[in-house]
Amino acid sequence: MSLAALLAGLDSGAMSARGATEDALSRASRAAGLNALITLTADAARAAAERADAARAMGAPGELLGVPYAHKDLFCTLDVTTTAGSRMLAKFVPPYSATIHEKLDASGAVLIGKANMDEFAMGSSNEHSYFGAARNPWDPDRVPGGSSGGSAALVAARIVPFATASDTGGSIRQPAALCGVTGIKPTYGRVSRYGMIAYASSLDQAGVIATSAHDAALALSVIAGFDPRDPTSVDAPPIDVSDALSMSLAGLRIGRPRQWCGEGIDSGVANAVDAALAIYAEHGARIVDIDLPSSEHAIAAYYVIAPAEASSNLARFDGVRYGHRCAHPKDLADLYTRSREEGFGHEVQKRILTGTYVLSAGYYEAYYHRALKVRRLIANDFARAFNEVDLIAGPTSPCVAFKLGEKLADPVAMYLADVNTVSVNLAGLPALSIPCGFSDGLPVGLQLCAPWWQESRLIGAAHAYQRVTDWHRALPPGIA
Amino acid sequence: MAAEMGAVLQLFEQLAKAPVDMLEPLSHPGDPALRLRADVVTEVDQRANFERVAPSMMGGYYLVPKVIE
Repeated sequence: MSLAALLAGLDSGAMSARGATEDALSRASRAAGLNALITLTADAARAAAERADAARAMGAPGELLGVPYAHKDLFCTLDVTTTAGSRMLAKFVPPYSATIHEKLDASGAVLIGKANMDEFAMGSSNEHSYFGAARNPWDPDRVPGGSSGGSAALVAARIVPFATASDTGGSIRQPAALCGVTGIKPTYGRVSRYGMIAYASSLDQAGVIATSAHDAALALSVIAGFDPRDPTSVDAPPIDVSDALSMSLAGLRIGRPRQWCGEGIDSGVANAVDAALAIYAEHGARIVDIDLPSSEHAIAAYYVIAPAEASSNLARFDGVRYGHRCAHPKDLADLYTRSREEGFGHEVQKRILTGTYVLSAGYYEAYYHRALKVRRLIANDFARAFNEVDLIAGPTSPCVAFKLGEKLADPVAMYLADVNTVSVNLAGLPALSIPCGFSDGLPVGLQLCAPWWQESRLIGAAHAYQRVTDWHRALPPGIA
Repeated sequence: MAAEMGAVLQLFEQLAKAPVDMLEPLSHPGDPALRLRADVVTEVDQRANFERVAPSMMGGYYLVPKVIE
């Protein structure tokens, strides 16, 4: 059931928070094979649902009063284990909550658990989780995408109407695309990062995954907003959801970058995206071919900048200040080395090493400094493009969900699959992915990207498409 | 690991082809100006809260393994 429908049911009294929560818990238990949750908070959820029902009976406010949801497991939750998908934090019980958790709590939403993810959000398949890969509800032999794979799988399997997620290089949009759901990555600074375990601080942004743009907008408007505890939070005009939902496509100029649609895109994906843009055109939008010439450098720039920031952010996990501590260290170096070796998985170790390498004295200019200049080039490309168009559209992922293990042997191939998502993070722009068809029976995602702070336009354009198409209502096999 | 890192570093060679000579580096997508807050105490005493998650404590101190002889 959609979030909007559930809220209507709760408002009318046809449904109760306790009933909705029991339903979510029983769906989670039936879909345990997806491995989409790291921690289930069933008892706390039941208690919260009862409080929500009591509050509703008293007429208490709450935008999401009684709505079950899950957090990606990198949002700190007071007294609830928060692992970031890592052995390093497998036993970490935060003494405080992330701002977005406080906001969801205040709205009356009911947390049912913490969703699986690639370790420290580093990955595009969820296979880099210490707790094992989450699986794609459309085909359990395939990946759900990553790093927010658990969040996307939970929503696709209709276990919860929405889940939180985070996006550093595509980690909301790509799993949303691969699981056939809607995921929005807001403008950098729109949602507080306070209490969100950092991967790459200048790129990380929290957002949501839901089954439709309408639902995503409802959840996003609760978690968005200025937070003095996050120095990069921005006091921007709020997202006007009702205004967005009534937006017309007539006259909307949509840019289709040649660089997003060319070589390397599977033909089934390209066909579905072309068909989606044809629907936009039918309803009055004007599709314009544009160029983002620096796109070819985006992957290299991203995989320099993100690991560089990660190597600094993850220095705190040393077995003393934070995280897993090895047994019987023989000296200080042994304590640090073994704790980090045991606590971090292979991909995280590789990115830390890469990050320290590109920041080292001999390579700083050639790699890190140059990547920051390329980042400027990419941001300039978008700024120029948005002088001519209102939105930019293309495939979210060049391929549909791949088989578990298929790309593990070739990590560079996995990086290259982020080609259409990373540039958006480098520029700090808002973007979303919506389901737009199938290729070989697997969902395809359409990515829409807007200028800074124009989430309303994104949501409006996505909602207008979902009013005239049914792709977002398609259910994975065996899910009702 | 060495082979994988070699492949990643090869990917970075792409950066040399980008025309960036006259460009300023962009380290942060937004306005990098730092906000100042009012000069008032905002922290509350959370000592007990933070001690609760430490692996071992004694007399208000965090205990770590003995690593110096």
